[in-house]
Amino acid sequence: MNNNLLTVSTSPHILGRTTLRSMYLEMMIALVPALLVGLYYFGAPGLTTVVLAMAAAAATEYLISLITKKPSTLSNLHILLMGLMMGMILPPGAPWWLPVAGGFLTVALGMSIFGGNGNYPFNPVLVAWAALAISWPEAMGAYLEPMALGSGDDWMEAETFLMQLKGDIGTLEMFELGTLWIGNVAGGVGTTGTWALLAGGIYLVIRRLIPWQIPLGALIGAVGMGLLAVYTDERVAEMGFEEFSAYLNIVWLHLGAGSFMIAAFFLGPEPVSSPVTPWGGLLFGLGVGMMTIIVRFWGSPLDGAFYGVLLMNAATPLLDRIRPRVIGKVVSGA
Amino acid sequence: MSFGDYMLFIVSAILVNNILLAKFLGNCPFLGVSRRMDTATGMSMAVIFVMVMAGMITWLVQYYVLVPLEIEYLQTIAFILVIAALVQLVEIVMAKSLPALYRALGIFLPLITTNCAVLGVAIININEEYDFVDTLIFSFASAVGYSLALVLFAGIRERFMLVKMPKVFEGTAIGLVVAGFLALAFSGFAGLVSH
Repeated sequence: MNNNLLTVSTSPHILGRTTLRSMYLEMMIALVPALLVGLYYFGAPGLTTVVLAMAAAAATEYLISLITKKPSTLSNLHILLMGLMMGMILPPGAPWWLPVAGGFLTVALGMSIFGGNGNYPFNPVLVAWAALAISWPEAMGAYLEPMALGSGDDWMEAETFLMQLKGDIGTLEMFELGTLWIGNVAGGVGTTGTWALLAGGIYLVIRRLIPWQIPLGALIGAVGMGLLAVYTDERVAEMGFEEFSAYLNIVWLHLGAGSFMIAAFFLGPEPVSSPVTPWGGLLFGLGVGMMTIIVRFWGSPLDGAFYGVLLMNAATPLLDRIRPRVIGKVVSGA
Repeated sequence: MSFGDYMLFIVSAILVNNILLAKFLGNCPFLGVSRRMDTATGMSMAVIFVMVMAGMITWLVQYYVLVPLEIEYLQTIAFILVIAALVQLVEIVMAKSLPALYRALGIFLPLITTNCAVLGVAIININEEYDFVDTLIFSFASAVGYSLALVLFAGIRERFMLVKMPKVFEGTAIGLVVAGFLALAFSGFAGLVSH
């Protein structure tokens, strides 16, 4: 067979160079700064977690391609990106089976049973994350105290900002905005470096690999709901802030804390499970941002960002019904 | 209860203790009518209507018939009887007086007789010792929560028509998996109202 037989050409078409592989490669590159921040503060335990998750994801995909007798899709890097994100949201130094189970569930439960890339309704990473969080809450809540690279390996367990906040909201005043945004706090391997995630996310927006509506919606939703929450919550009222900036500061702390940034820029705007319409994307983001704050202030889980993404994933088919009106179309017989 | 308490009560019934995704009642119509969006919305309307009616009438039956006669042990059978009769009555009245809505609901109206969520809500109303107004609000909010889950679920399942899925997972199998994922997502609302 000659491939030229299939080339139908009238107009001078120019092929774009974007492929799935190049797209996913760029997404991985955008995650690298956050990963480096994580590795700088969490060293070997962080690296082990990420590598195990990626290896487990790749191995699962390979096995499934053997079982289903379909060509493996490993070469387009999608699976590795999923494994990387799975590793980055897990606590560093988790027992070895946690990232392995995470990588396995991401590929097998989140993706393959729907028919692989392009078909799943929920973000596979977050499906796996939710399953892990329900199954092994202790292991998912055991975080390490950050230590800059080269300062020994006496890892100590630590509570994250959000854990302390759940226990006593007064700890708000102990946290420096700067440390929280730089990433020098306990948390998931790749979720603490807020600046790095923001930079990577903005790179993706500029390269148009993710729609700008979703992160923007998430930021608006989180800031709006955050202000509403700090002004109405009695526990914050007891702390007796007077200036607006003090209240706003709490909201900035929340933006830098937990997994909000990675959810807003990387896990939420995942191309398959997020809406394609502009207004749908904005509403999707708003939902993620609001859910983050609602759960952090009043819910029992520690962080709502991932639950927000899962819920909005569920609403994505409905959000995609918001379509632009066809200009000049006349509705007849109504 | 104050207005704020009622709002929390409603949020709790719709999101936190969703009758489908947290209490797992009424799963058969959930899987049965969710393949297409229009049947899902039709079922939602029918459930909202019948659940509120059934909630009110079973409450009256419990406190004005069963308790005075001291035959509370007949609760289940009495409620099933009431719901079945009610659905039939509603169907007859609606066919004559609201033919448009009757045609829109179609088969789903009689099907609700066997929807365990309706009986479940009626029994929860009694077990939690709600008064009449609480019963009304709880029945309505539960039905709205049911509809919300059903419509979200139908939206996802409609998309599976375009998906090349492994044969073994097609149909009800993937439906059950997605229902599980939806329940996982809704578990994020846990604890929202309790404090």
